[in-house]
Amino acid sequence: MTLWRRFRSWLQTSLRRSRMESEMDAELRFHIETRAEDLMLGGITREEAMRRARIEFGGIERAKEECRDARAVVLVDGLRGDIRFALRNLGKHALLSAIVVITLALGLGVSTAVFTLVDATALRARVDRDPDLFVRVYSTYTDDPANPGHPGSTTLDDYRAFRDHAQSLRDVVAWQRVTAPVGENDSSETWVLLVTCDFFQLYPLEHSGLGRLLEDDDCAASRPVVVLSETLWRERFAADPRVIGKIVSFNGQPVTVVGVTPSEFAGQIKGAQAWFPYTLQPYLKLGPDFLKAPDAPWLTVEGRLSPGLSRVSATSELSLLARQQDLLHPLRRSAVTLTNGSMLEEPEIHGVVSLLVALTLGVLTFVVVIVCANVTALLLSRGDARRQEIAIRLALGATRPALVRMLLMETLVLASLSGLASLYIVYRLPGIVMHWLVTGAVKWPVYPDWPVFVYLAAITLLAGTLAGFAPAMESLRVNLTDALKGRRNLLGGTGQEFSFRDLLIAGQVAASLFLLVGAGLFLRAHHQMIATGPGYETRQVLIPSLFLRDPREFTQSWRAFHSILTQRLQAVPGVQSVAYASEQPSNDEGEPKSESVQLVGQALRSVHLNEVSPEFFATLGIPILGGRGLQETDSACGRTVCQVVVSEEFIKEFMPPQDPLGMTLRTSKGTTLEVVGVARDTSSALHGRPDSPLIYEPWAPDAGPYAPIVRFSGDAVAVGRAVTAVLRESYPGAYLEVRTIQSEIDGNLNGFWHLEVLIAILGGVAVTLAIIGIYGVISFAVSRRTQEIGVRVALGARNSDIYSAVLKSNVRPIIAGVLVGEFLALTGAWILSRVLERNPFMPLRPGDPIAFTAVPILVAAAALVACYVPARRAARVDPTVALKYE
Amino acid sequence: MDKQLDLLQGTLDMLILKAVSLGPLHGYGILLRIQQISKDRLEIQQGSLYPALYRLEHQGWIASEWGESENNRKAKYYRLTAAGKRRLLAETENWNRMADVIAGILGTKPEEV
Repeated sequence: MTLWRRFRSWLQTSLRRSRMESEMDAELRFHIETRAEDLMLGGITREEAMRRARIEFGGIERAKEECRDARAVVLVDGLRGDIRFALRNLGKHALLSAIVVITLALGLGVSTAVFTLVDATALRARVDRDPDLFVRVYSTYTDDPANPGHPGSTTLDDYRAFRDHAQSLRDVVAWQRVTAPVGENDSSETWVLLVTCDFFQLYPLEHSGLGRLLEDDDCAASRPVVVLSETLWRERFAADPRVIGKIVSFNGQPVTVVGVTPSEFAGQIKGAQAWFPYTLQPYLKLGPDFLKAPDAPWLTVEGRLSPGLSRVSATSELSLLARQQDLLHPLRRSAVTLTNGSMLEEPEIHGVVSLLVALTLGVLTFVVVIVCANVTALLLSRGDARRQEIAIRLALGATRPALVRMLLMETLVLASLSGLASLYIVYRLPGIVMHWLVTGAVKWPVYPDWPVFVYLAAITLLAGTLAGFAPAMESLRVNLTDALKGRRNLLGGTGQEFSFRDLLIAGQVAASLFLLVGAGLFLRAHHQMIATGPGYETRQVLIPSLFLRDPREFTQSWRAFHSILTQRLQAVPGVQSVAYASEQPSNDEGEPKSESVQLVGQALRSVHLNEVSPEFFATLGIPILGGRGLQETDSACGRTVCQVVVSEEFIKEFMPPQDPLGMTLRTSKGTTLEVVGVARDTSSALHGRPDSPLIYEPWAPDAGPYAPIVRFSGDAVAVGRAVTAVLRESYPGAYLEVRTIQSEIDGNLNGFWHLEVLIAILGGVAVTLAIIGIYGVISFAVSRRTQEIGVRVALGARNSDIYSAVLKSNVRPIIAGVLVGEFLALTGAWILSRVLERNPFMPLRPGDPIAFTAVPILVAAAALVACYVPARRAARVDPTVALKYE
Repeated sequence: MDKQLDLLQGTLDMLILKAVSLGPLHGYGILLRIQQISKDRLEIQQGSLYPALYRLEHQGWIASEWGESENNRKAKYYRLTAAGKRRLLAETENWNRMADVIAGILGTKPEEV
């Protein structure tokens, strides 16, 4: 009750501040005037009476102040004053304030923005509704006991089994992403999705666009219909409002537009520009006819968990269904994995993605640490410099709590300003980076991750408050007489002890060095990937993708198809040779074929397999190191013994006791392979290590279509265009894409390259922050020593003496920071290289001499420049001005 | 007239509560009432009266309202609240016990120790 009344009284007086003031005035005036009237009864004049009444009363203003105090108005009043004062003070130290605000804003904003990106890209399923229930299904198929297979797409039969029988999943949809040219003469890659017609139940639209979505009948009847994205509708169809019902061409096939999705449609997360019923796959000629191959895994299956069920129970149910399906396919064994649909959980890239996520978060942590250290150092310096001011305030009667409040308020005002600035960055940056980072069609919505921002802001605020608080407490312990006289430790900063300020400088140098070395290692790795190459010709080789709906429309047999194709390709000017392979080099679409083989007396081991034509090695420029290559006379591997070439890595892995040439291998299918040659290792993944053991088998030109590989001389664009023209004319309506191996590699490296640049940018931000921080700290330290420097100059010190005095006091922490940073970076690189051994995706030299020498020199030089500028200012100190301070 | 006594620390609040317990008074009236009751033997700093009043009001022991003074001017009148009454009783009892104890101590003769 009392407490409530007190609070109310406080609230009232606080809110009605002016009324309380006027009432207080009136009350005191009444008192004095009434007293004066009483005194006038003693026969003195009114003026005299008033004068005496005032004297009797004592200090009126003081009484008022005490009255306000009694009502705790002073708290609010003081806060208002503190804020005003803080703003004025920040304005006075505009440079320092700007540095603190920029540091905090950059640090907070950039870290949150990057985390937002990482989170949106790798840690979450890219769906808008119920991401917690979302699952993606990975099926693993194998018919080879020694090879467990890879989790990937699902067959049509299995998808139907899951959809029709699984109780634990709802909205089970499947899709395949393909590219298809839109209209005539479209050379761009437009991503389209072949989807089951309930796709839009899993990816619902917020509100409808034009027309309708896909209906079950569209799939059942294989209607040639399409739903366009708003983007495609605007770009290609000029936002034509009467587009519904129009017939447009995709991959040369006419389809009818039935709907347009709104632009914010979340299904866009797949980067798709159009959605077709999946049963149109053969009609659109998007690769081999999968509807006739119900065993071919080609669909990505997704769904939502039924209420109350976990992913574990759904996994066991689907595994059971898959095993029932296996009964229909002798030899096949399948396994099912369910993930939450995030990139991090994608089985094939889990290791690499988690490594990258860990790296990014590690870098972010360093940035935040640097920011905290930076702000702390700056505020500490300022607190230090304000001792005299504090002392004056104390001497004038300011209470210590009021002073602490005032100092804290300044920190808080700084933090709020930075918060506002960083909010802007958080809001804008992810979109910009995303736009730049993801050059292909794959885009998904990115929203600022507010919890992360709040978390980081809280950490930084805490650090800032502590940083503001420490000097506040420190300055309250001042020795009033010394501080008032402006007497400072003339040797300040040159003492032998390693001060907290030195520690902060060293810490910032170390952290930024660590980050930059990391960025340097990444850049070097990238350079090395480009420089070393995969071990075969990439620029003068075309790898056309050619999918015919039915090659027999053109020839009688596959063998004839291959020989006619070879003739046509060799007729193109510039083409030197044509080879065929079941796997095109550097083309990582689909999983590589593999086979289980054993040496006599050894266990079965799974190795990769490529069926190649005899011209393969010469066309790609892969040297045969021992024995011979394949010949026309080598027959395909069937029931009899067949001749094969193996890679060096194969020899290393199997370590045959005798000469590898002539040794025989048995496959799990009972075939015998005779090794007749050893080919040099290739390194398609470009991470600096050879591809896993590989067997080159003779191709079987009769058995089915093989992918062509074309060696040419001259200009890649011209020859590529000529090859495209020949193929388009020879096989009208086929799916066709012609590119060099190099352009494929460039495309793959592009994402990696962007990621490196992102890390480099973060490193750059960190270093910039650190340099700004060091500059700020040293500037402040120097300005504090103005007097001392003035005295020195007056006593005859030369410029060089001043320089060396300033530099000497800061060189030690910089050197210490460089050493610690180098040590950290070496350790980090060593750990990273160990991790990369298990998840190779780039070549890393943990002891890269350039990264480990160039970067420290750069950082140390930058830090010294940060010292030099204030030192120069110090050297210009005019002794007379400096001494006037005394 | 006896020499005026300085007010003991902390007793002003009690005196104000006592003064307004006899009827609503404005600030100057409280001053006069205390001096009158004490027969001018207590010296009260006028400047310290008002902070005390504000403090007591903030604590809820007295309440104030504006009214007409004897010389027909607007003045702020203070009166004792229920909480203030309890407070005054407690303070009075406390003071009496304290005075007894102090008096007892000061009145001790050597042979009583």
